[in-house]
Amino acid sequence: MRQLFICRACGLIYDEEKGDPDSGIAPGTRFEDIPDEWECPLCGVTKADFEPFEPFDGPDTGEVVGFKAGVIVVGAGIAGWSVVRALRSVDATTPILMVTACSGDSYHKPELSVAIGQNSDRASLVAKVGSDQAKEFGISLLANTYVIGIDSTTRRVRTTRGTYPYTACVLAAGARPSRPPAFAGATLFSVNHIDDWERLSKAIASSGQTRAIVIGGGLIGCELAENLVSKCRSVTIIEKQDLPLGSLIPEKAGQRLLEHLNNINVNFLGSNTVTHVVDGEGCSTVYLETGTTLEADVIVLATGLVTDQRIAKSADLRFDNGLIVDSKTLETSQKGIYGLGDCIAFEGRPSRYVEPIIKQAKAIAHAISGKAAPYKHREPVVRVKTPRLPITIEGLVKPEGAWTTKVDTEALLVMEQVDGSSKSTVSVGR
Amino acid sequence: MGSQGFRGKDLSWFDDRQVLTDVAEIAEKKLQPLANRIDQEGYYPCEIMRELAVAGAYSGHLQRYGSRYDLAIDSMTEISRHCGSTGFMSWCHDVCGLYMEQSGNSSLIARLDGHVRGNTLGGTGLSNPMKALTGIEKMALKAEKVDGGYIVNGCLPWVSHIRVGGYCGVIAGVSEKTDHEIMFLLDLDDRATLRECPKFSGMEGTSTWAIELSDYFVGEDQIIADPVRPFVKKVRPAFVLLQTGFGLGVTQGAIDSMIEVEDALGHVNQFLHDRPTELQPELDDLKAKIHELSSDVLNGAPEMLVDILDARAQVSELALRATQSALLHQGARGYLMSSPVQRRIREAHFVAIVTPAIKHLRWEMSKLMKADLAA
Repeated sequence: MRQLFICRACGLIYDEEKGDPDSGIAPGTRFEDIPDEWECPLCGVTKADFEPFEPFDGPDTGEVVGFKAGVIVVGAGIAGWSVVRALRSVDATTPILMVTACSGDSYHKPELSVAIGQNSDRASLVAKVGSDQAKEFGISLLANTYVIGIDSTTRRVRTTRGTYPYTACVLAAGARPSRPPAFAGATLFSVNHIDDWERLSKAIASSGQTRAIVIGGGLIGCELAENLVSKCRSVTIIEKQDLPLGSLIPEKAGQRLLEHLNNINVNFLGSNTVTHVVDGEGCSTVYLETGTTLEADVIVLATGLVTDQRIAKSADLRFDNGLIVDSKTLETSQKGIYGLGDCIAFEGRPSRYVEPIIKQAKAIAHAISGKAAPYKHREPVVRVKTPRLPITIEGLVKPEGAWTTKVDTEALLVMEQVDGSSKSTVSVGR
Repeated sequence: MGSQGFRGKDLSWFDDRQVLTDVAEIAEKKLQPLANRIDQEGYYPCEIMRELAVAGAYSGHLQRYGSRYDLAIDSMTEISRHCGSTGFMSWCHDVCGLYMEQSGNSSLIARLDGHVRGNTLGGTGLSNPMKALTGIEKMALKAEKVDGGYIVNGCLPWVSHIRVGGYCGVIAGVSEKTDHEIMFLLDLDDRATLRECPKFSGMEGTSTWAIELSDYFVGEDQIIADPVRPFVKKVRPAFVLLQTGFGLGVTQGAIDSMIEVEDALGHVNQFLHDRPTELQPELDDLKAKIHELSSDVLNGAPEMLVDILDARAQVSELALRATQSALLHQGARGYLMSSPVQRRIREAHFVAIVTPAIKHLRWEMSKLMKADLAA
């Protein structure tokens, strides 16, 4: 087989098939047969500065065929793909460019915490591979690409694969697990993306006898814990409040959930915080504020999400725990830039649920096309996916406020909170 | 930092406006008439660089002169506006001064006075190592520990703003296994061989040579950093940010050339893209952003590095657009080989390909963003 050699100094490639006739090296001369005095025909370094060359064979990053200017969608999660779908339903031809840090594969994120307890693999979770989905919608997809900044004056998005002009830009960039610097190491996982999920499920599968620690006993923490028990030797939740789901449900409901967790062998350590994690040989030690230490093979971070501010800062977008958007059109403080999903916040409250996203996408698609389909924000119905003790939360709850018990049987607890004209309900069990 | 301890001419270097006025005047009156000779005949304008040094062009960013990176960048902009080659060499000279000062090595600091005043000239050979340290290519120079120092071998393909008797900052790999490298000031005496480079499409007057080292001994007095990585991590933001002055100047020069023909050609130029009225505000915004980033570049937060790389990439993109547009604005007169307009297109290409090139910047930003997401 013909071998290639590259000049480490200037990048010139010596091809044995072509030789270097200008320097008297005949075509077909093998590299090892070239005299040592031979010099790089471009930069003059010697033969010793050459090394075997392997051509680049990298991941598919997608392609931007013919995208001159149009709608740029940042992010390829449920929010990103929902916007694309909504845009295509009102306008089949507007050029759309999706820029995403991942592969762009579409999947249903809420399934991830349940899937951890099943024998799922990535292929069974991915509804459609990013490039195929892009083809179907007739859009350009830039995968494995990061948005560095947006210039709202000249209307350009700067990415790690070039600068693209937009007529409208939709931010669907999501949020990321908030991770204190003291939490680091190879055993630390999160489940906010299918890539994270894949890492975690592989780690559990290879460990066999996993001791899992879930940091954070909120919605994701409880869902994960219930689904992890079938796969792990032990599962412990560490939560700073005294009861699970403390910021979402009243005490009485929390007690019931706690009993349930105990019954299914989830160890719940309430009123506890982790100070730091120390990586060890194959497992880690988790240090609690109380002085207790715990060993873990897998640590899952479920302490909530934060929205990255880089894009907001670069485009001078108003921000309060998330992008501040118009309540009807979801346009940010800069004209032509919209936001939806996990990266926006209403009155400083981020809405990190899937339910509103489709309506938000529809409102944005219409606003961009100059039509009206105003969004109306409503607290989404939250269903905690703890299969053996389903929990539903409706309305904006204040756990500390007054609650009335509506149903209280062994299998079901329903509680209600009335605040002026608004009513909230929490139901635990069936 | 105050001006205590400085006397005579040095004192005027603390007056930003004075420095910029003097630098701009030398660049316009003396450098500009030579720009063609520099570009095409390869004339190395060391006399003018000395004058620029005396005016304070190469002092601002140094800690001893108050770490005024904005002043160093603005000086470089004024120089590059008239001659990109000299603007680029100004960057070489600036970062070489930065290495010497930040080395903390008293032998090198003792040489800094002569360097800032332009009595001696020195550049930087970090193109290959900067790429090597970030994983793009392999280290070209190899060092071996010996009694009292190191022996270095290898070849650096093209290093600018050097000549026999000059010097430059370089890095050599000691061991790939332990990520050990050394950085030193390479004195280009008879122990080093300078070899001519092939003819480039532009930047001919930058005195660019290939350096060949064969058992070159590096003593304590030449060491800039050992180990290198913490040092490079510290100076890299400054290294990249300073370079923006070169591209900003080439862009400003291009806009100047568009405005120059506005009276004569405005009636047709109005149909062009990237008009001076569009480009000037973009340039001004970018410059303001760069000034902001320059306030504490040696001690900035880690996330600032992406902003600096981003700014540097934007400078490249803007220089490419502006110089291209300037040629369209000037038409045939800009296409004459004697016209600065066509020269600047080649200069802008260099802005975009010199390390860190646009592709390196994107590679690095991508790496940093990925690491940040994983953190």
